[in-house]
Amino acid sequence: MARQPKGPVAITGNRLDDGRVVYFTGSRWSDVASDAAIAQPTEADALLDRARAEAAKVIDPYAIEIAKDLPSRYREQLRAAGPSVRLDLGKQAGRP
Amino acid sequence: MYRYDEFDHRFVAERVTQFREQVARRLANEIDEEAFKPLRLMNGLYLQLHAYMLRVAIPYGTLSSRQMRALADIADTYDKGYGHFTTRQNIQFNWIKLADAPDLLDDLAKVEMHAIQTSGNCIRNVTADQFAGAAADEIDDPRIVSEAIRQWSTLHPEFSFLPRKFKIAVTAAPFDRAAIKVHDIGLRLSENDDGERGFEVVVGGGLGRTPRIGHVVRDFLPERHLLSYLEAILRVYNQLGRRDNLYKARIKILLDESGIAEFSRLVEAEWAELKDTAVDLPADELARIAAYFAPPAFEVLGDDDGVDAAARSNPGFAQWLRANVVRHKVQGYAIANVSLKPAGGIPGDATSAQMRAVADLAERYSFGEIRVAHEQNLVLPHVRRADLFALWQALDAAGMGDGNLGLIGDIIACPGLDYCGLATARSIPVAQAISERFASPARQHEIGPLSLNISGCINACGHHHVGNIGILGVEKRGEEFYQITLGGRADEAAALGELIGPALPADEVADAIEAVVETYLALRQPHEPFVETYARVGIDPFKERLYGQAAA
Repeated sequence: MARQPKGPVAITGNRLDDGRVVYFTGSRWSDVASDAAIAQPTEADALLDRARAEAAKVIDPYAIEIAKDLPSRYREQLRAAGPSVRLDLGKQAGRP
Repeated sequence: MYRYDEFDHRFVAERVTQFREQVARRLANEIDEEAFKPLRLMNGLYLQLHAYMLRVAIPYGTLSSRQMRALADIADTYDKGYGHFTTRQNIQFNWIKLADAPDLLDDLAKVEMHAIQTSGNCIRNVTADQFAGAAADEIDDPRIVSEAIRQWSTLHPEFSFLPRKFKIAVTAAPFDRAAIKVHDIGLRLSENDDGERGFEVVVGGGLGRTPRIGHVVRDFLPERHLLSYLEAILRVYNQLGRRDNLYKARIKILLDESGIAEFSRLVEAEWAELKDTAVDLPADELARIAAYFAPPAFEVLGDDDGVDAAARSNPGFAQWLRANVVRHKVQGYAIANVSLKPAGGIPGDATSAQMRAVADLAERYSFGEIRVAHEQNLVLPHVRRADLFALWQALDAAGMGDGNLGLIGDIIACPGLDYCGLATARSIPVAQAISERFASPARQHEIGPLSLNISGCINACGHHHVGNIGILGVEKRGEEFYQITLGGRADEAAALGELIGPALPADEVADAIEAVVETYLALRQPHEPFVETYARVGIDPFKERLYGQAAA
């Protein structure tokens, strides 16, 4: 990572075939945010390296900071949920 | 309407075939993302926050009913039943799967559409006055020359790798509805005292992080020399535009750095070499293109259209008539604007059912023609006045009957952080809060003409700099904040808005806009639109109202 994260991190990216947001579980990719493996700041780079090694079908994995089981940045909260103006769409809608 | 020739058909079909192979190789991981990304972008396919987004070109904003139905089918087959009309007269689909994209592009090609040059550092889809061919104040149909520019710029080998993207807008009317002064090149067709036609050529306008109003580099360029002159401008830009810094690569920065006099000198020198070569279209080719835009078979109609009687008995129709209906060049006809801005709605979004409704209504009432306006509305350009009431009733039934064109409810908003990977803040919820606050049509009409534009980042797709009221979403300490500017305008008197003060949190924006509007209402003279009151009184009264005495 460009800088050492302050808190725990998860690894995310977009799935190659449909662009959907996915999270790295430590061994595979899941489209459920709560499946994400959480690493402490000192282990963030190692987790990202492992994710990249498994990223044949995922575009540009990167680390995001997590606080209280949620991504810290609102951008990542929107990615994890879907458009806030269309609650019937995206992950929040509970269908693919 | 323009029809593809054999070359166009073959080229678009070949491009889809190529892209199909590229997608297959990418899905099989035979090529990596770094290699593939420029290929998908060349075909209009972006990766956004939640999925791939496909941007489809709608040249000069003109669609047939058949094309609109195809877009509706695409929304249902490949997306989630809706599309988003953009500030560049295009349409975007938000939930496209990579594997589906080639089939989608095949479907588009069947109705003579594609997504080529909707991304990348090339000459993008040319935009034009949405009232082209219908406006009472136009010299000629600006789509004729727009189509010539489209043909010239499509896959132009010399201009496929410009320093940065390049946008051209065209109008043929004195009243500028195409925002030509905030494009890389803006063209206005006019007629001189001898009845000759020529273009005012405006260069170096643009929004984004360095907003600029364009400079007139030629007052009157004879019509026949347009393409050679454009080529000269592009050549100078291509050679001298900066490639070392993404943020300084647009032609507006070249003009800043070289000065207008030097830039004009370079263009004129280049043009001297080009103007008598084969670049310019021969008159018969221009006439061939013009034939595609021949006016439809208008009837000779009288004044007795029954519109006034219908308006007297129906206030909703009266409001729509007042705001959305514009004078047509042919007696007995009108230009009918279809608002995609219901109170609380998402600006520019249309469901597939709405697209089909508009396609049907265009067929019944407007010779099968539809336009997309850069304000993210639709237009039925050629409606008999006698049909207006029936049209409005049908639009209203489909949720598109709002009579708010050019009023505060007619908000331009980019997709913002609800969809866009570049955004720093959301735009749509702010637009919704404001349009709900001003939901009363009577109140909107009382306030009068007022443009309110919202962008979710500094790239300014929501044209916030040129809104009478502009709102820019920024990230501040990890929260969404919004800067407000006043006094911008996108018309022939184009101006950039002035920042009123520190950014506000999201939940204070609608209150602030209401305070700005109340301040205006208290200060305005009879029939004085917002932007003129602002020009007369300046920013201080608004600042004082929003931030208190100390700020002003």
